[in-house]
Amino acid sequence: MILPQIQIARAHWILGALFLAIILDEYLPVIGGDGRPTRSRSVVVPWALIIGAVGVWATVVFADVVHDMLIHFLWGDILFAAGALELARRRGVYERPWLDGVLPVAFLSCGILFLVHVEVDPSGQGAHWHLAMGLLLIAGGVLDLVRVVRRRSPVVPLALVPLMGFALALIAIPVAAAS
Amino acid sequence: MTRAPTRLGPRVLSPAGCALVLLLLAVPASASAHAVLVTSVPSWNAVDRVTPRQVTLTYDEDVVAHYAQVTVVVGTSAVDVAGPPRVSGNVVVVTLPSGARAPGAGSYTVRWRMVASDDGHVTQGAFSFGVRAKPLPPAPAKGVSVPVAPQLLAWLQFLGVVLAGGTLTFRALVLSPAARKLGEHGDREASVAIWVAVVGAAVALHAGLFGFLIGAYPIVGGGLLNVVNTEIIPIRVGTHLGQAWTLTTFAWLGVLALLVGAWVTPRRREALLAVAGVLSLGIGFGISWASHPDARGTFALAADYVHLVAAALWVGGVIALAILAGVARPLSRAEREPLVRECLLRFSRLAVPSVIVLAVAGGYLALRELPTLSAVLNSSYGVTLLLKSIVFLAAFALAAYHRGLVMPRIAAGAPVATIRRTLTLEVTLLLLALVLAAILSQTAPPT
Repeated sequence: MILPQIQIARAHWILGALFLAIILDEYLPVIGGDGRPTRSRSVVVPWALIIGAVGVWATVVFADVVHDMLIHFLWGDILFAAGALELARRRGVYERPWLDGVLPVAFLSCGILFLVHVEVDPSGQGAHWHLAMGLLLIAGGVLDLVRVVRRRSPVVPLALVPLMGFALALIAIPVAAAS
Repeated sequence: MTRAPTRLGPRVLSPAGCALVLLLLAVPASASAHAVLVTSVPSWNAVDRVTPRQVTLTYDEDVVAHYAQVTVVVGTSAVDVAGPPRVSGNVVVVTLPSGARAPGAGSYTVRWRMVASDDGHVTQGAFSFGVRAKPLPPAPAKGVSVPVAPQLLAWLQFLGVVLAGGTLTFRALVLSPAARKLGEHGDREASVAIWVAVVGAAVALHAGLFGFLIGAYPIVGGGLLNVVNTEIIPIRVGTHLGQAWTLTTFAWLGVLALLVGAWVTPRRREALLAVAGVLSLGIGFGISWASHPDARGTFALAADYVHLVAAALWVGGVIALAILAGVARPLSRAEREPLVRECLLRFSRLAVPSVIVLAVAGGYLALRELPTLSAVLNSSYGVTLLLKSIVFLAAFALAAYHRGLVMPRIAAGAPVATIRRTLTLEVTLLLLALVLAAILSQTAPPT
């Protein structure tokens, strides 16, 4: 009754690839007409977040154990809310200063949920990797939150490093585990 | 002169790519639990010709023999398994009675509870197989239930269909045509309508998840805290509860995505809201599918769904009218009165067939579920149905008063505020009727 390892690996590396696309689109600099870096208003990131949320909710539905369902639905909710708010900001229908903090807070919350996931199932499959990935997400969220609060706009934000680490881990670890 | 922004990095995703990713993501799942049941003999949902001598369960890791529990039930009778389960590493075997004591044909429910050797985690689950009979969904364990929660969660799911399906359909059939006729855009009310529907869809999505888990709990039994380690797949796949939850979850996510689309795309807002409303009403079929009428045949299932949709249109319409009256309050009387009056008159025409369909379908379902007239007073199902009927009749009387006496006065130019208090009372009565409907949906009909 357990799903094949290859399917689980596929779900996770696809989610990792989606996350990599999101952070590259969000954090690689866009050079505006005046030659200065400007904030991306592409709707790719928010829709990717919403699609990711649906994917995570799919994991809620197809999970084999209840605690996996509970953690994944919280991840799905965070991604959906972040995607909807980002979409509204980028389409110009809802603009508030605090919206700059949506993505960092989403990353931070998802990272904390990784730690909760490990706490619920401490010797589960890949628990130490979950712990490391949670810490990477928390580091990325905190670094980006600091950037937003201090209103800094570096060409390449420091948060990109741990967030890319998280995305690459989400791609590489399941593939390695399944092969 | 300004240039369009250029990106140093790659653009990775296109809409088609996003759709492909969504499709691929929809297939798999994760697993990181302990002592997960990998295979069984007889297998889950199998149909055997003879009663098996034993049931063999194979887990993905070793389990503790001392704590291994396996019970086998045929119909509602427990089978006397020969001694405690025999455990060898990750394989657990229970021996069933043979010869004259062998249980006969029927649907067998196997309920297991294991403790993993390495970390001491408890996992549990249940599945069914048949002997010369179709396996039924796993039977609930005796004496295991969660008070109040199933009724509350069922009510929240009804409320979701009403708030998303009923109010958005009101918008498509009543408010938008009325606003167009009066030359208004209705943008002022759109954000409120979207938020009401988002709240309804989000509440129903989560109530569906917890309703499924609460519904699954009596099937596996055990301690409430252990439910987090329940292996859930057989219950999701093997019961209408699980199948309906699977479908409605994705449908609610679709509704939420449509609502987000409507929020950020004013040009296509009305079309997206109308689709979201229709989809929300369609989700009501999942609720009917997982409830009692499904066992009474296709016609009863259809009647239950029609009953639910008619209720959603009536209750949702009345709630939308009350919200419209509130949203329009800051406007001048000259702006407010024509719009609310036009909506009241249009809704009044829509409500009449909805109420008739609701009453006819409800009456038919009551006749199907109650074996005798005395069951109305002699069973908890009958008493709840009686209370629901009384509340419905009170709301119906109020609606008839609105249509027969209040509407003609408003049509003749009386202020729309004339209806405010009685409309609030009608909303209250209808929400109470929904509460009673939720209780009814979780109460076993008399046999």
